[in-house]
Amino acid sequence: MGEGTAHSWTWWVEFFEKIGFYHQQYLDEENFAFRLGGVDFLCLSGGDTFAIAQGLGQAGARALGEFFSGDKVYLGSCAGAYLPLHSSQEPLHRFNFLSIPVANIVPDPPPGLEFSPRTMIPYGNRYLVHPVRGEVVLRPRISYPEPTVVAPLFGGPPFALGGDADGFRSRALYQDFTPRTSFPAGPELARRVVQGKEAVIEARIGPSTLFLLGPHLEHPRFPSANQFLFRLLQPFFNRLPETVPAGPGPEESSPALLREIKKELSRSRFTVQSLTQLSLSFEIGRKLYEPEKIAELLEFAWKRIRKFEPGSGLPVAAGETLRAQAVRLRESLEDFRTAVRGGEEAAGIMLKSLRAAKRFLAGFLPLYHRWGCLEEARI
Amino acid sequence: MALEKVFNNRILLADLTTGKCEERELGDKLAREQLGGAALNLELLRRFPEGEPLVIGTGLLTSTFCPGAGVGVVTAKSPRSGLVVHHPFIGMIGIELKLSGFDFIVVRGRSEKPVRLWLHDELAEVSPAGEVKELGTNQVTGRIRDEYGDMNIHAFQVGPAGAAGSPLAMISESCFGGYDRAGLGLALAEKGLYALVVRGLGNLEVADGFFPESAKLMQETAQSLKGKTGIKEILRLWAKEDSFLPALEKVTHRHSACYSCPFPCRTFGFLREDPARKLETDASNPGCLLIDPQGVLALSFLGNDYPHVYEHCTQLGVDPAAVGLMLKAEGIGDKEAADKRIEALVKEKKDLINSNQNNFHGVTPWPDGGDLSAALVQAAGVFSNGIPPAVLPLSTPPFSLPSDPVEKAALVLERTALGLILGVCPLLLLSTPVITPARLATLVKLATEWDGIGEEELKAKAKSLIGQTLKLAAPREAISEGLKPAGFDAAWAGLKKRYVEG
Amino acid sequence: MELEITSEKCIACRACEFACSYHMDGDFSSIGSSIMIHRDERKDYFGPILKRSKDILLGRPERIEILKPGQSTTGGAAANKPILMRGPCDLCPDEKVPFCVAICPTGCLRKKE
Repeated sequence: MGEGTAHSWTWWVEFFEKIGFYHQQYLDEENFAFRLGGVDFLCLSGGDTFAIAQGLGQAGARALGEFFSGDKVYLGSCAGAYLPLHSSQEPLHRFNFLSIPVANIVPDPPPGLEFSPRTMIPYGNRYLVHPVRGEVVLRPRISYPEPTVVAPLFGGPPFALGGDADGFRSRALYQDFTPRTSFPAGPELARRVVQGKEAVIEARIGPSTLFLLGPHLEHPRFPSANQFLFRLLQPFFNRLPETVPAGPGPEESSPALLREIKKELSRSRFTVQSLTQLSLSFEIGRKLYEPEKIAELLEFAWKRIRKFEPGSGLPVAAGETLRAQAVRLRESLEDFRTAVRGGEEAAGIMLKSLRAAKRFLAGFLPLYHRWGCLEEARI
Repeated sequence: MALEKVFNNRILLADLTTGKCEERELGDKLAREQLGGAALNLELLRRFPEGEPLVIGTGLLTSTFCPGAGVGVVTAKSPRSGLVVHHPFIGMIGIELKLSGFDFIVVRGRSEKPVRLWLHDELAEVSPAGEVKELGTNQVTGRIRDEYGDMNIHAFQVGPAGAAGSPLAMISESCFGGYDRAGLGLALAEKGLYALVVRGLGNLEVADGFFPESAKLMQETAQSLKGKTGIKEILRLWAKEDSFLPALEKVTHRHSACYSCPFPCRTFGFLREDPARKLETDASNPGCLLIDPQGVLALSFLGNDYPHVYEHCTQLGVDPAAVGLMLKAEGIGDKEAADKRIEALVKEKKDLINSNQNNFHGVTPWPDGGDLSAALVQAAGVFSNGIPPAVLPLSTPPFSLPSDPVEKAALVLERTALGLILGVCPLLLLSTPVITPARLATLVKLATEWDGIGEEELKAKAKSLIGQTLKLAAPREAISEGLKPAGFDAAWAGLKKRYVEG
Repeated sequence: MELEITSEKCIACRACEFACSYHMDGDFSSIGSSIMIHRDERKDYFGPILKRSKDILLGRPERIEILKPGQSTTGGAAANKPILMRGPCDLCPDEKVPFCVAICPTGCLRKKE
């Protein structure tokens, strides 16, 4: 959830909640290197691959290499699927773990495709293109009861493996599109670059297994994709520790603290909703940042904080820290709104708000998973 | 029963004396028995009688796709009449209230200092509201919205008139007045509650089939009212002459509607800006939204000045209908004199009774048309008299009206009651017969999955609401003789028999 | 197909917002919609804003304006408005008629083939 990631990491959180697994940690560039050793499943979702690599740096790359030397599982979707692939581009070259070609690096800019982080960016002396956005139809290449699976694609890679190879297994192909697919430069380019290519690859590095997912199989609104993902990962689930059941409220808990945090989060929600009326979209580096991502993170938190039983609370020490984080989040959003309305430079403040939102979630989710989460597994 | 498609299952008990709020579950049983809105409000008044309560509630269908389903209801004892009355608030406040996470609020006790009750995201906060005494309702709403940075925050509030203790004080909906004829603005002010502020970022589930059924009803309703726009459509039905309508046309900017309503009966008058201007004005306060037909009619004698005086009333939070009667009786003829006199009336704490104006238990009558059924509706005093006491013949096909005045009054009362139980705008229900109890019952059945709910039960509940409210206070005999057309006494006895003794 | 907006027909009833949010999120709320009503109540300035996959359509009362993401608008004190921070309209591909069109009472929203 660190630098360069957007909000799609929350989709992995929700996926694992659905399978009843709540032992989760949230890593960013500050704690990645020293916490990775204690992790069994590493999930890396969407965002700006370059910024992610920059944030993780050499130390992060080394830690990832050590991670792969253990018997671990890596789940990379979208940007997370690009990260471990060989690249000549800095700083991605630090993460050259797998040599798998992708089909969407082209020598010349295709006609009709605009330069923007969402559709096409320069890549060395070539171009990384995204000719498809939205729903895609996948054909599973494992024994699976359904002939197709629908999942969303938001810039993830179509692999050009051309079938199973040494150490790599194709697990799904891009078969087709739906009426909800959009083609920024027309369907012809999409068919050429994406259709028929690998969407999901299972690879090995030493004893570790890597699942590289072009589309977001973990997206919460695509239950068939979640089912397919569950099936792919099923052989590995015996590694997951016993789910910690939600127990009674913590001793020395403070309902007042929970209420205060709810109030701050509610105020943050208004501020974000009021921003829907203003002009907002920032291109920072190679990535287009839209503050709707902050709204997504807030709603993710809000849906969960509502699930605490009436009268329940949070442990006092952790709750106080979380309250401070909630206040900082709300203040940064108010500063952001003030800056935008005043016509001031707001990109930096927006990034600060995004970081504050992620930090809040990193503090909140473990408490929620321990004390607030009463749902049974749904997959 | 699918309560989650219609309610949040949450009642708030707000004690203004202690400043503490407590939540209770609404529960399937209470919802099934009383349905919602005014009927459930009344039951809550019974269950929580201490501390001179006032209940603010939402209808069963408020915040659904049903056309006109944006209504909330305040049920309380009127300081003017001493009777329990159900007053609708419309605009967007009803849906914002329900989506804030609260279905009903019982307000008890009294705060020493002015406060506001701020509801958002299932949270209720009581906070100071001192600025009301000096600022107009428009400014107060603007300040609240600026403070939280959200234009969709709504407030129903008490203006400076309420703060001054005037019996003419009315509840104002956000910036521009309302339909309160019962002096509930004073009731709120006496409790120290100067505003209920709401923002609804919550959600409700939607039953299968509800949306297409609602969309179909919406299109049929819109078709029946095709071409009808603006408050003038209602004014025309009462105006003995059209001479005051040109003054309205001169200032008319645009017409707008309440939540999900196909009849845009609210007209914005540009009083300090060219009404033909389509570009966003630079003026921060170019005019006023005219939403209260009775208020406009009462002030229409002022000719071209009446929109300005109407605006002044809304900013003070003063009942323009009562004010209009009093100003006319005093021979006031222009804006300057009217503005001065209104301020004085507020300070003098005048009302219709001590000004010797014709009234229905202290409440302003609609312009006298000699219509017996309209007199009966107003005499009942069950609903805010800001709602027209007659069917509005605006639709195609038209209503099929009974000739008997008691039956006609019953039609009006029962459609209004149905609207206030379900949270559907009574103005809309009185404007078109397309939204029938049967169609509403279909929507209720889809949303709630209640066994046995149907048209007959809804009609019975509407009748029961009227009867129970009528029974609650002293006999409603305080009606000026001048407001009783020929045959009134016998007809009134017939109406009471239908609801109270029958 | 695309959505056509005749902004002078808008009456700010917000039915479209809730209908769109229902299509997007499956519940009754306003926060998931791709269309929303911008309204300054005190100035009586209102109209629909529609987020589309490539741009934003502003149904101003005086004209229709199309903006690219990140682009500022021009004109009047409202120059710093408004761009939608939501997912884009998908024209309700599984429906005969987009939900907002189905519920709009004035014909302000229409589908155009």
